[in-house]
Amino acid sequence: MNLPNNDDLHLLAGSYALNALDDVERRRFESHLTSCTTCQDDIAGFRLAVDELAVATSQAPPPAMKARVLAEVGRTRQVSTVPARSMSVGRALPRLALAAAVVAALGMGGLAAQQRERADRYQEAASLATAPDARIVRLAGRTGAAQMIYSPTTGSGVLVADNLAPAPSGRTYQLWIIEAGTPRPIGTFDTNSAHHGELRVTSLPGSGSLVAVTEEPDGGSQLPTTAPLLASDPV
Amino acid sequence: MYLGDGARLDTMRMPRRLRSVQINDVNPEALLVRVGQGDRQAFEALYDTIAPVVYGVARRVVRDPQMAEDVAQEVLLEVWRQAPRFDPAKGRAASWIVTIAHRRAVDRVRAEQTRHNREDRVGRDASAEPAQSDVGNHLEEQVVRDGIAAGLSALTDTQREAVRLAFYEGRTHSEVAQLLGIPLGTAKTRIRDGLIRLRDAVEPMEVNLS
Repeated sequence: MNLPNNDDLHLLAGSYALNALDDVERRRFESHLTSCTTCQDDIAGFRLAVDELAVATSQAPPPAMKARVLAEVGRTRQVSTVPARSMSVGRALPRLALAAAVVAALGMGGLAAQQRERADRYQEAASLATAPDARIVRLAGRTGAAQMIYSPTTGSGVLVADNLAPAPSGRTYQLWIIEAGTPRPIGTFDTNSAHHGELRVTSLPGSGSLVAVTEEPDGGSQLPTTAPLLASDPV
Repeated sequence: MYLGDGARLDTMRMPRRLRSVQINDVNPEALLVRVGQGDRQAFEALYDTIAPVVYGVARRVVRDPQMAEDVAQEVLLEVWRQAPRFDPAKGRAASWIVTIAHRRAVDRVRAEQTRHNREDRVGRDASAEPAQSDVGNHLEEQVVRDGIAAGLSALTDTQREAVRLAFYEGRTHSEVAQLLGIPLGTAKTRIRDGLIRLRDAVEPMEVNLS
């Protein structure tokens, strides 16, 4: 994965406006964008250009689509206007909410998983979640999602991945912490037939680092060899 | 043109084609704000205005008609779900919707690519191959026509190709670099310079008025 330094980030405004960044680049750029007024101005202007590209493609949708969309709208709730990002990044959450999130995440493990091992991990994650300094980092991607729950005082944590199909034969998933653009291998894990996987973590992300998951050859790699499947915002 | 009339000035500054997006004298921002308050009638009016753009983007990027329809439906539903978060102070309704539509279409096309690559893994990087020839010629021609309509003619050939691959084919800039056989830095620059020219072409008033 090619991580740009800060000087290069300005160059990414065009690619960002065209959705031409991969997930890690996009998150890094979005984090840069919050404090860079030059890029904010660039993006505002580029949006006009992009709108124009989009409007040029206009064509009448299949007529039956409208009734289907309106029917869906009739039974779909809108989001509440509580800021969506307030819970997303590396923030100590109210402990009960966090514990509930862990229970929900682990609950998706499926019946086939070894019950005993799961119970142990559950206990571990639950105790992490109720630690006074518990933190949670969410990783998102095009398919699948994961949460890393950890406690800075105990120096340990757990990654819980869901909706992630098992890696192809000969391949595995690998977790990385990316600090100042340098990826550090944390460990490998696989997911089960219920698309659920977990990994114990004893190396924690520092402030401003990213957490990401790639697919690698069995045994893992020293440096990522594929684009990230899942990535977090800067912690 | 008299510069004292704010409303008129806004209309003048809006790119020509987007003005046609405003129908029934209802401005899309006001409509989207009403949708955000749960107004289903407003959504229906908004649907008539934006569904062709949403479907057009989906069709162009994902290509397969059935998949494009799925994507367009998801996007329109997402517009309904997310509408309470739309803030007219931060940008135009058209941009907000186009951003959701293009991102969703690109996500779908990349997920399909990943699935494809996994299914027939042949030990080489499929993304290094040029775009497959199953793209109908008429579609290519359509893209060229759209491109001209959208002001892409203001771009150099190399800028146009980079912007076309990124926007209409949903390629990442790394893929653009690979497909064109150029360094990543050059791809980034072409995309960025292309958008600057395009912006200046669709927004000439900005320069004069600011």
